[in-house]
Amino acid sequence: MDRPASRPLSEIAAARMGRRAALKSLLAGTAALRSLLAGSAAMAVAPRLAGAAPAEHDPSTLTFAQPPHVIADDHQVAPGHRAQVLIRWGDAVAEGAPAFDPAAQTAAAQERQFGYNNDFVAFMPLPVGSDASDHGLLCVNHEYTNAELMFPGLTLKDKLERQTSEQVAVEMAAHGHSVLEIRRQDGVWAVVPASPFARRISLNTAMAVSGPAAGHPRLRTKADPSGRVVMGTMNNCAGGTTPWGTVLIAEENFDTYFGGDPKKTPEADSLARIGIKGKSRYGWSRFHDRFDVEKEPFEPNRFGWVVEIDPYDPTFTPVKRTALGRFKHEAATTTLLPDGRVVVYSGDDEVFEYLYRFVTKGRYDPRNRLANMGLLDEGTLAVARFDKDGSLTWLPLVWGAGPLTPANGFGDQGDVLIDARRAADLLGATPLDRPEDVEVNPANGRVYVMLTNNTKRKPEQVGGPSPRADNRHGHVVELSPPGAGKGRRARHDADRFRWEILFLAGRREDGATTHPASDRFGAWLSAPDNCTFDNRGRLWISSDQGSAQRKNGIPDGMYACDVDGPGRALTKFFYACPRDAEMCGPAFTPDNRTLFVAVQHPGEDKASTFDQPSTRWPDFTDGMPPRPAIVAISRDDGQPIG
Amino acid sequence: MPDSASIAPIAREADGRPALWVCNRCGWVYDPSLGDPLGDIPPGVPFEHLHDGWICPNCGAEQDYFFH
Repeated sequence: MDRPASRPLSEIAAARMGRRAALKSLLAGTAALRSLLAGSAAMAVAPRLAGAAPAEHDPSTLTFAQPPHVIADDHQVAPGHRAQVLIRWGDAVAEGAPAFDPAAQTAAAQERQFGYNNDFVAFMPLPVGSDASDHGLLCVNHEYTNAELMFPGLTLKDKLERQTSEQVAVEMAAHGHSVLEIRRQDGVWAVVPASPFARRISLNTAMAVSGPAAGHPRLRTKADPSGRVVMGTMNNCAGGTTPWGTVLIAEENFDTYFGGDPKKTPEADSLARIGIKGKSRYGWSRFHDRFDVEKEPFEPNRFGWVVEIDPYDPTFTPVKRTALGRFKHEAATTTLLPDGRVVVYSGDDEVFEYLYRFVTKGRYDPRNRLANMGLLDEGTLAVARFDKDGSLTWLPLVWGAGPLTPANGFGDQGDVLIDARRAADLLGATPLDRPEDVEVNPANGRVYVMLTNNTKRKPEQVGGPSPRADNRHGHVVELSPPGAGKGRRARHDADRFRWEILFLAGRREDGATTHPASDRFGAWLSAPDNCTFDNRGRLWISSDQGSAQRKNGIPDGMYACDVDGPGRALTKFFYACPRDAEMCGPAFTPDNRTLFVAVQHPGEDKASTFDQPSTRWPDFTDGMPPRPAIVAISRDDGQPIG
Repeated sequence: MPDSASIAPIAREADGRPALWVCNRCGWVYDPSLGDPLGDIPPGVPFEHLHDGWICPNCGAEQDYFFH
């Protein structure tokens, strides 16, 4: 929807001078310095400090010393910090959970134990609405499972055929989400046993469907003729929190769970667009008809949504909010507009996919928490088109407008949301290099998009926000809504933003454009994935190189950089995951004295199995496989991190 | 003289089609009937006949990470 407004001075100046640098130079001294180094509008796409003389002094505001930048069996943290393993796969969550026995796993036990492959982490203070940093709820996603690492006797090559029905049931119980009550005493975190808040959510948790696609004929199955009740959630990658204290968890690679031949279904085109080809990464369709698209062609339409959970109410029925669209949501990040409306950003994590934004119609009511529970059901979903002049335009996905009509197969808004990718194709959205996390910097109002990699971008496809062919190391794009800047109010609902590249990741010889002083005072990184900000607005990035970790020879872990000032894009290394793990879920306590991180799939490699894993982190005990775990990082002196 | 790749045995689905292979890193599926348009692999190439440098078009994992 169009919101006419007077053009800000900065936009007028930029247009008149014909240079994006002009906009920056109006804002702040540090920005002016950058623009001087930028040169032309075209060059403004590249980081502006590239080519500057090597710094004699470290210009970063981040003062921690870096740990060794090497891959190891164990994790490592910056000197002067401690990294406490808080909870591991199999540890007790809900009351009555038995002690973890990897040789005798049952689905019933797993439904009460911490799930596998922890990803998104949110710290939700107790009491609700406070900024407590010593007591709260830790909300954790469990994205997926590695059967060959979870169960004895399986390998990558034979797991689909050899898995038992009970092992599949354990996998389904190990997906989803955990809510834990945790408390910090004398600098040490502990899970509160038998907490009334403790909860596991899995593939067996009933969930409601709300918003424009609820009850849609393409959401109905034999088990649920209403199209309004779905059993469970899966592949919950990252997520977000809302101003009213709920948690959003994002369903990402849901296509990988379905077997059966999609060409034999009435949903063939839709299933193809989402990537379902008739072969699953899991053996679930052998035992459960709903994961066989020939038997339940609409079941995949019931995943790929953003799910809202109230962690403060353990009886709350999770809700799939269809107004936010269906695609491979990496995350769902909210920010509040001055008028009380809420904005949600979400990336679609696949090569050549898009960046989306949702703006609510209704307004947040800070005095009545429960009144906000339906806010995400009504509003406008839009997708981003990046133009080479440095502008970004949000294109609304509204049924009946433009190409989103019955002539193109869209019978109603439900169809537009279920097939959001196809709608975005028709609108001319800009294909990106795997949009991962998207986060709003509370200090400057700008939006940061992690574009993790895309080895398939060809030289003729380079341009705009994707400046590198065969982009193996990924990059970070910075979006500026009108009004962004320190102490100002960014208009996240505006139809047009500006964009530029914060940095291209990798080594110098790969074309990295991080701050040149990164080579002396920082470290290089590859494949930015999730991110968060500290209270000073500095960017903390977790990385996921995948199989390239071994090729690159550096660990995945936590990196951090300034985004404003002379240390902009000077990346420093803070924490190393153990071997073959990726880093997820960075989340600070409100006082910034603890950083929670999620170590996902330690030991995931082609030859690594339960019986012979590439690491046994964090237990290093014979017979105990590697266990994904949450780590709480704090400074030895208890001061804020950074 | 055929190279070693072209004489390797080809895994098949139950119905006889060349097997679909799954990336264990990201779940992306190589379907020989579709090939890999992003990687310039035309339809009809069995997984076993992909050239050595072919990697998962979605996440970059090498062929060793695929199973069927």
